[in-house]
Amino acid sequence: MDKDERSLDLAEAREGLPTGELHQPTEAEIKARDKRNIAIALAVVAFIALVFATTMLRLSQNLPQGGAS
Amino acid sequence: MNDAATENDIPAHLTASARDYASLLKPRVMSLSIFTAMVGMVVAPGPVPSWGLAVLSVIAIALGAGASAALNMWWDSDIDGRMARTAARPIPTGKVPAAEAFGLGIVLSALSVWLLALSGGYLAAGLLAVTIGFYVVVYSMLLKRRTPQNIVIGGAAGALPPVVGYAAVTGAAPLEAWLLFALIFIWTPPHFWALSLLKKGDYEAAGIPMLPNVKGDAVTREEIFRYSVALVVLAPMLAVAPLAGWLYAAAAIILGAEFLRRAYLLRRSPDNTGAGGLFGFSIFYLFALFLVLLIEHWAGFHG
Repeated sequence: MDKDERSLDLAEAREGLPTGELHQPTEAEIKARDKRNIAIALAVVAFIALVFATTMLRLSQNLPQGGAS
Repeated sequence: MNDAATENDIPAHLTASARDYASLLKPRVMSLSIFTAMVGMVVAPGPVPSWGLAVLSVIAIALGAGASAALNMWWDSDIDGRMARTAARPIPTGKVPAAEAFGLGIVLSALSVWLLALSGGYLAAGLLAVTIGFYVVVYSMLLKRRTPQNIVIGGAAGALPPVVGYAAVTGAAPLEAWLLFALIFIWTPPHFWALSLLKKGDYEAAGIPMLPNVKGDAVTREEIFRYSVALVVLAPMLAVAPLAGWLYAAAAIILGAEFLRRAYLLRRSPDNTGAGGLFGFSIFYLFALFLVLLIEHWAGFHG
């Protein structure tokens, strides 16, 4: 393999060429996958909201001590 | 698979829904953990310091309960498919690959313990980690397939949520919190053994050494009765501690009498008549006792 061929391979790799899998997802699979992706996104957002709420409540608990001085 | 593939050719996990993953968390068991943890918070002395943080702690405990359920389903996926009661779970049906259930369980375990450390403190978070570890490693991996005492010792995991809740609002786990633990711990054997008398065939098929399969029905009925006596003696004694009052004591005595009557009738029944009734009543019994504790505290019986 000369230099030009190597660079061509790298370029192709970036295009996400097939890995040898021959599976073509059906409509039902794509629909189910999209729904799962949305559920994961919502779960992540919900968890961020939980951590944010916890942080704010913890900080507000400590305000009285900080403000007393 | 090619373009000509039909709906029937699609492996089940490729069309799995978020609901299938959610069912790995055993939502019904989760709701019981939420309820008992909440009672642990409310019966702790003094007002709850921050209801916002208490709610967040309950969510963290619920996530922890869900995480342990997912890990339990991952570990038991081979035997779940052999029992009618559990054959429809997402791993045996192929809806969720076992490795994904494992991943979900591990991630949720870490996140729930971390969230509880933030909202309820390190003691509560540590107790939650112990609960998850005990349920998955001690109960599921070590005891369940080895000894008929599996649910006796493993019951500790189910009994811990009120202590976790108590620790989340007070930062401590004194003796009175462990009285709630003791109540659920002693309640667990008669509850599960009543079920195992009914589902003996299932456990036989899966090779799980539940008490009726190993020692027979008569020994199981006798053991149910013994634990029931211990339970109805222990339950009213919680009223000696500041966390429970006379209303709770009255409920514990009246409901305890009915529990004992059912356990006694089952003990005398050679064909296990009444096992289903005792199983159902045991759920009502525990729920009612914890509900009375909640009512006492909300009604201001304890100042």
